[in-house]
Parts: sequence; C-alpha cells; structure tokens
Amino acid sequence: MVDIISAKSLGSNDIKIDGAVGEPFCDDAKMSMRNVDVFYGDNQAIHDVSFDLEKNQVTALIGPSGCGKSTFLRCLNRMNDLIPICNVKGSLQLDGEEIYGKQMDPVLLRARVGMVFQKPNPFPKSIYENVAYGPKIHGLATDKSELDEIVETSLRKAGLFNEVKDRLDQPGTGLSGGQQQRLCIARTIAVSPEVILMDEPASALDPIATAVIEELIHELKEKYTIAIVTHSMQQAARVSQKTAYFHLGKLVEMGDTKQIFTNPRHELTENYISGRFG
Amino acid sequence: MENEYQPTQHISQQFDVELENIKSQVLKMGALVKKQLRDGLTALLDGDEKLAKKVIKRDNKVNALEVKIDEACTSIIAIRQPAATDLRFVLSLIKTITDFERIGDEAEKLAVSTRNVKEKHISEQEYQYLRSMGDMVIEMLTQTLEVIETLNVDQALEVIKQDQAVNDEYEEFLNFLVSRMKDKPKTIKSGLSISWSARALERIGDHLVNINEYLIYLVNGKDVRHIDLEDLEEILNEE
Repeated sequence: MVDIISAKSLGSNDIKIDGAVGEPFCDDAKMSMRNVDVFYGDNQAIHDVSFDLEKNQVTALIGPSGCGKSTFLRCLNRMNDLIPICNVKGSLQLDGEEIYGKQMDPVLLRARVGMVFQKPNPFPKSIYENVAYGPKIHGLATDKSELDEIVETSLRKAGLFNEVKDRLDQPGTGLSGGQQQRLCIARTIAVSPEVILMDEPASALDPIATAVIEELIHELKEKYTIAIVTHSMQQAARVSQKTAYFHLGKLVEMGDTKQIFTNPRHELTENYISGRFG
Repeated sequence: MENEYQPTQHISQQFDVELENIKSQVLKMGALVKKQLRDGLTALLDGDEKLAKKVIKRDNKVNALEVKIDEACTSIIAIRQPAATDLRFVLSLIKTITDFERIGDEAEKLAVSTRNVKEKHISEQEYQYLRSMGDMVIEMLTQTLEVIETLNVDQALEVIKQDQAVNDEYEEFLNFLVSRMKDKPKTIKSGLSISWSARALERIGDHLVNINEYLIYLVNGKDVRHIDLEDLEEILNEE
C-alpha cells in the first residue's frame, strides 16, 4: 500500500540495480549521455549509464570508491583517451554533438569542457602565465592587453584576483593550497569553457578554503554547467542542485539533491548517504 | 507487503546506539505521558485530589525528558549530520516530543480541574462522556507508542482515523452541555469547567494525529500534515 524501505544488509548482492531510478533526464540538457559503457581492457567499469547534465546547474556524482564516478567524469572531456586500454561506448553529446565523434577535436573539446582536479596542479610558471597559457594556445587574445584582461577577469571570477594582483609574476606553486585550486579554476575559466568538471576539488583543502571553493562553485553555475565528483556528501548536498548516485559502475539514482538527501528512492542510495555502506 | 521500516546498522555502531537511545527515551516519555493522562483522567472522574497533586507534580518529569531528548537530537544533528531516513527519524522524534509535552500539559489540566469539578458534582452523563473520550485517547496513545516502536504506517493511519470519533464525541458532549446550560442556567459554571476538560481530551487527540503524521513522514518521506483523511489515504495508496 505505501512506500517501504525494506532493509536488507547493506552491500549485499540481492539488492538489484535495474536501471536508474529518479529523474536522470531533463529538458534543458547541456550534456546528454546515453547507454554509456566504459571498459578498461576486458574489465567493464561503467555499465549502461544514461543521464543529462542540466544547463547552468551543478550536478554532483557521488558513490563509494571504485563506483566509477571519476571514470565517468573523465569521459565527459575525453580524458580517458590518454589511457590506451580504455574504451568508451554509447552516446555522449555536448549540445547535441557527439564528443567521441570523428569531427570532434579533443583539444577543443577540453577547452569547452574544462576540468579541475583533486590536487591543485598549477604549472611551474608564474600566476599570470598559468592563466594566460590556455588563451594563448587557443588564440583567444589578439594582443597583450586583451590577454591581460582575460587573466584579470578569470582570476576575478575565481575569487583570487585581489589576493594575487600584486604578485602575478610570482610562481603559482607558491600559493596556498586553496589559492592554487582557485588558480586552477581561473586557468579553466580563462578559455571560456561551457562545462566545468571537478574531480574532488576541495578534498585537499581545509574547511575555510573548501567553503571559498564551494561559494565559487555556487557563483560559477550562473555561467557554466558544472559536474562535481565528491566523497563528501555534505559537500554534494551543499553545492549541487542534482545528485547522481553510482554503485559498482552503474547509475543507481538521480534526482534533485534535496530529495536525494531527505528521501532517496533507492535502498542503495539510502544506505550510502546515511553511512550504512561498508 | 509490510508497511514497516526496520533500519539496518550503520558503519558507525555508536551512531546506531545514539539513535536507539533517542527512540528509547521517546518511548519512555510516551509511557510517562500515558500514565499522566490515565491518572489525570482518573483523578478528575473520581475526584481524587491526592492523585491530582501527583499528576501536577509529575509534569516536571515530562518536561525534563523533553529537554533531555531535545539535547540528544541536537547533538546528533551537530555531530552526525544525519541524512535520509536518519534525518527524518531525528526530525520526526524531535517534533513528536513537543506534542508529547503538550499532551502532558493537557493531562495536567485535567488534574488541575479535579477540585473544581469535584465541588460541582459531576453528573452520570458527564462522567460517561469524559470516560468515553478519555478511553479513546488513551487507546490512541497506546497505539501511537506501538507505531513509534514498529514504524508501521498502516497502524499510524488507523490512529489518525480514530481521532474523528473523538471529535464527534466532543461535539456531542458540547451540545449536551450547551442545551443543559440553556435549560438550567445554574449549571453554567460547572458546565464550562467540564467543557474545558473535554476540550483537553479533544486536543490530546489532535496531538496524537500530529505525531502519527510525523511517523508517516519518517517512514516514507511524505509530508501528510494539514490534509484531510481522504487525501491522506490517497497519498498513501499512490505507491
């Protein structure tokens, strides 16, 4: 008669994942993934995953270690191309364009779909050069003053400009961890991406630097579509509007973050977010 | 299909212990409130002033339990940051104890009225009406305690349904009192006094409805407050 949350022991094999529950699709999709399988050699890491990244929204991908969320994220700008044994099947579209299509230049794709990594990884160059590098190689600036403007705007958007404006010529590696991560975000923004992928962007940062990054994510979504992988469920709850829960390479559930964290539909989601999963 | 929720264990067993402790404390508070209600009603109906005093004195214990459980829930929210069912569990119980505390206050009101009603000499009919309403809400409370233990949504719905009978009885009793007051103006003072006790019992029924609504929210995440019974059944049947 009514909804039941049957409670079997967590992680047991008798809990079936029979297609994602919830609302994995939307009307205003920036990226659409359908029936995506990912293989590392013979080993299948992602099984038939389909969902949309909604435009100007933050989508959090959560799940236990090894569930495939980072693998999936890396498919979205073809970072997995760098792994020879990695094979991606299915349809992954950016504004209706196949990102694994023959016409798609991976370098240009990565400018449109930027990525911020777990560990801040500024180039061993000056703060200015870190941000200017992308626009330079993509020919986004015609002269020095234009480049200066891009660098300043990007640093401002990343909430870093006021902290570094007097030392733009100093090494990016000399900044604090939180500042370095914001520098990496500025570097990503500098090439005017449409989508920003973040793989555990705050896991190496202290709570204050984390809060700054989270606030930044909140502001960035006005202009960009964001997908974030995080192990911190509180972070997922704080920064995202949509949440996708992965388990053993499958998408178990996707829906509004508020719903996922108060009333998830799938037992596995429930168990994971309430700390019942081993 | 069973309509019950029995949670699995957390990785942190200490968290399980903390949640279980809250539930035990809530059940303890519920049992105490039931004793207060039963004794308050007995004191009123039997004119037992000694028992009434005990009830009035014991209300402090109900209040103290409310504060204690509140603190335990606050601590869990701050330290564990519960999500999903755990969050609904804590929220539902923190609201449940507020209604328990108010039921305690209503039971105290019955006890406070004891002397007043005793002096006015309660009539046989008045006795029957109050007894009948009292028995109904005590039964509702007993079943509510079972729902807290079992988290059975079907039973929660049954308790909510029972409140209609309490309301009907209350209305009938009021009509009886009003017409008697019209016929015999001398009974106005005692009639008003007794109507306050009936009102307390009717309010207890409402608090128990609230609690069962929280418990339905706990189990299936649906907010079923402020809707009529028909809509409630429809919502629960949606699944």
